[in-house]
Amino acid sequence: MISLDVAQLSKVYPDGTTALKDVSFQVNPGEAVVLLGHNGSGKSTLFRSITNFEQLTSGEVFIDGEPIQSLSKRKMRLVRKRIGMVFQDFNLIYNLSVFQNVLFGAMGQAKTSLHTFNWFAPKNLRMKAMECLDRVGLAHLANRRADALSGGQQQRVAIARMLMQDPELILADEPIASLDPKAGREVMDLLWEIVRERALTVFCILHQMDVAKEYGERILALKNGRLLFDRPMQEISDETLSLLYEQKDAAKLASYEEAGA
Amino acid sequence: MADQGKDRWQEEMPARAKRPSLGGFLLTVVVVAFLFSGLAGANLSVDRLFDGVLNLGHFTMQAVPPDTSRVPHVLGAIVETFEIALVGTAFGVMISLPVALLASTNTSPHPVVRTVTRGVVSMLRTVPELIWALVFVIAVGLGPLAGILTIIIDTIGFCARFFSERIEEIRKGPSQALESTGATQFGIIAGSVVPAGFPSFVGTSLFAVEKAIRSAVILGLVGAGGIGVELNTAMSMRMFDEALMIIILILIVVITVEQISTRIRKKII
Ligand SMILES: Nc1ncnc2c1ncn2[C@@H]1O[C@H](COP(=O)(O)OP(=O)(O)O)[C@@H](O)[C@H]1O
Ligand SMILES: [Mg+2]
Repeated sequence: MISLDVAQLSKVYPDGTTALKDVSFQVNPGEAVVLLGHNGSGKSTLFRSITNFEQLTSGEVFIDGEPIQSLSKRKMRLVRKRIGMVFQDFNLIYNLSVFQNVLFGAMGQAKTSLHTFNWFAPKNLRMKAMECLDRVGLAHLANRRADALSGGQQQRVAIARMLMQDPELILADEPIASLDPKAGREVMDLLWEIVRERALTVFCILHQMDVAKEYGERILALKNGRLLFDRPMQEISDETLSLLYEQKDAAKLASYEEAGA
Repeated sequence: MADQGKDRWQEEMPARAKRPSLGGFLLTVVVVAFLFSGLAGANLSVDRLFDGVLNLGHFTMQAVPPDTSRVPHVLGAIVETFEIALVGTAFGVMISLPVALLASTNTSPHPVVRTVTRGVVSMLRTVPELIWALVFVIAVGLGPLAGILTIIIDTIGFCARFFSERIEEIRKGPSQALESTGATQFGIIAGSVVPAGFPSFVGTSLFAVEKAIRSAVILGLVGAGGIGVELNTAMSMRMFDEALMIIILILIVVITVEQISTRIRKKII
């Protein structure tokens, strides 16, 4: 079981853009948390900071109580192996086979990176890759090139690759933003089923309000790099959510923040 | 309206030509001076031109028909040229890939390494290949080895540069996806950077083979092995019919290789 603790995190990019301002929250094992916020509110920056892809300006991120910034390269890889990521644009290696893409998910655990190449992969990894593909319903397409799949299928391959690493926490950055509504729903259902059956923790960026309401147990909202609110789904009214996206006047926002804190 | 327009835009209308800057003017003078001095140096005269045409006619008369008696021997030398090109390109490409990784912003371990590698690569490219060939002939003696070494250097100068340009264009998303599984730097490069660049690397390498064959022919002229040696001998001994045969064979080989390489390239893209 993995726990995530973000403490007073701020991020200013070298060009002076303030992407995150004093953001603090925790994600407990087994939770399904949805992160909302308009474009440019800092959501992706937050995710990249959690896995140390982004140098923090101040504050700290703890995984299981350990601050990730002080980890050695090798230890950081071990932490990353435990955190599965799903991206808006899938990020497959498009001119390789579906099967090879899924095998690469084992890079963080195989004896060497070469052991995740189809030519050299041991039998157990190859079996596991097929099982992961089967779990997302694409075992029959293992031999296809990744770029010969539909968007929904590509995202499912990305999920299979993520399963390959046996993650404990899933960070999904707008996993359905590039998909049509039907494919998007299928991907969300699949992701949530997997989370349930493996008792994983999931932290998911969404921007469709209705989807967020349906899948989230707890909602975090970012606005202009600040945490606007953090509360269980059932305590959130439609009015609260609309507040997040509309350009309400600053005074009202401020009073809301105070009430929420 | 019409007569008003006559001298209307007098100030706003751009002049037909801009007054040249002092630097531009000086540069033009220098270039023109070189041009005339060069023409003068070539000792151009109607007589010489006329003689030239006569000599060419003479050459053609002697060269046709081409002498086929030494074809088997010449074929051996052509094969050697082809091998010099192939071996040189193969090693050159193998060395180019790691060099390109060191030279690319997104894969280099350190900016200093990158700058130094880039400098070395462009140095390899800037020195003309005949000079490399002369150097290697001195270093390892006459023969194909000098040719191979020259082609290797030439290929690195060409391929490392284009590989590196491709590597820097590669989207970073897939690499980040592998990194987020806990992959090592080696895993990221082998699993995402190299596969993504692969079609382009093959295309560039095929160009390098074509280029290498033409170079390998020329390298023979300075004694670095292959058909060039034969051509040089035939020419200087005024055996023009044999020279023509050699030239025809070279053409056939070069064109064949270019055809094959074009086909392969079409297939991978
Ligand atoms: N690499 C970067 N350099 C500079 N500014 C950036 C960079 N990445 C993101 N930003 C800026 O930081 C802010 C937050 O971006 P992001 O985290 O991508 O937001 P979101 O994912 O919520 O749309 C935006 O204003 C964006 O322009
Ligand atoms: Mg984003």
